[in-house]
Amino acid sequence: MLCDHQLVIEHINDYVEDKLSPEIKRQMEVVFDSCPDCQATYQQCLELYQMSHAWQSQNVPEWHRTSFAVRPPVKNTSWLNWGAVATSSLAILMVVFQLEISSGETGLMISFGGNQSEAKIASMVESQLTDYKNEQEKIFQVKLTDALEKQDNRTKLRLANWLEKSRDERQQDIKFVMTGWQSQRYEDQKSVDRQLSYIADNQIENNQVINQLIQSVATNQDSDGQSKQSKQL
Amino acid sequence: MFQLNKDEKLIEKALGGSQRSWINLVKRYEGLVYNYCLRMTFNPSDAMDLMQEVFLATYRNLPSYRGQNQFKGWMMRIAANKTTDFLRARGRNPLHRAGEVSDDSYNSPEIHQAHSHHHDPAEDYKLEKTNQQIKKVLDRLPDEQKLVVELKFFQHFTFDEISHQTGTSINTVKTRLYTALNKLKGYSEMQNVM
Ligand SMILES: [Zn+2]
Repeated sequence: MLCDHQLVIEHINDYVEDKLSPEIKRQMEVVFDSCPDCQATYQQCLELYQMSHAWQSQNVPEWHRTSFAVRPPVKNTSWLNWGAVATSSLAILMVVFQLEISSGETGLMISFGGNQSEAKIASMVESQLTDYKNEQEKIFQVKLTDALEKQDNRTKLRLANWLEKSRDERQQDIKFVMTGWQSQRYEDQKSVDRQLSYIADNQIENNQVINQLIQSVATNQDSDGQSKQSKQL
Repeated sequence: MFQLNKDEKLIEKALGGSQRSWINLVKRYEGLVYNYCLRMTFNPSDAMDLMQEVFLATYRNLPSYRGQNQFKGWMMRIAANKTTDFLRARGRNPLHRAGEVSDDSYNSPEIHQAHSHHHDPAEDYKLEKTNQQIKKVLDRLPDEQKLVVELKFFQHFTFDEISHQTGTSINTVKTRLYTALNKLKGYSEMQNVM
């Protein structure tokens, strides 16, 4: 009888692993005795199992097990610019307009002082924005790398949770951080700074809010050049 | 059983946001995955790349894990997919590389870096040499055959599991194994391993 090797194709692994019923096992042995091809396949299968046991298990080199777990979109180039601009805009507002932030019963109050003309404001904002942006981009990059390397898991988790929140909740968070900012002692400044940087991340809305603020300041100063203006966020 | 239960608990906590649990889960399987990657790729550097891709995909897919104490099998399905993509992306057909595989990789910096904590270089060399010979054997096989050999002979999955992991029928898996065995017949390198 000509062997079509089908029995061996079907059962060879189970045969070597000794998982076959006595009946099929016996049939296999008959085939091995009569078909040199199947006999050779059996030998080969046996050798391959032996070879697998010879593998010397290697230790895993050190690697970062969570770097991807909460990975900010670093490769997105526009992200960094937006983030830097948003952060620096905030800083510029505070410097140029003597921005004051305080929380009251009705929510967060942002007040502006100063009496610059619209054109002057525009040019100041533009030039400072450019300078500040360039400067901040470098700092931003360093901070980001730094934060990642420190494996600040708590911060990353907080950030991950934060990113899952709705836009409204994020705005609340920003208000919270901004309110807290005032009362922070100097030594806490750096960590808050980092939180702000993170919040600016993916927060294009920030820019829109800030642009609205700038516009509203300019408008208000047209009608009232001197006195203090308030805007409710 | 205890081991399996532990997986489920770690996964649940990892899904709840515990990075510590995720790290513990990774540590339980990274040795297995890394050695799998070493056999499926061409050098330790590729193996690291592939391993990280596997765990990244595992992490991302964790919410769709259905439980039932099947984590290892489930993860190896992801690994099989990633491996296929990886090897295809590299455009490396092992058939074309048979014989040129890594004779010089004994001296590759990755290997020395990975094992710099070992004491005996001669022992390292012997250990590497055995694995390199096994790789030479495996690299005679086309990717799809190499994968089923890996899953059956090295990882001891059932045909049912391998069928699921590779997205092929059980008959196809068996045929690939049989073809692989035939391809390796009389290949002298295997004798050197044992
Ligand atoms: Zn036969």
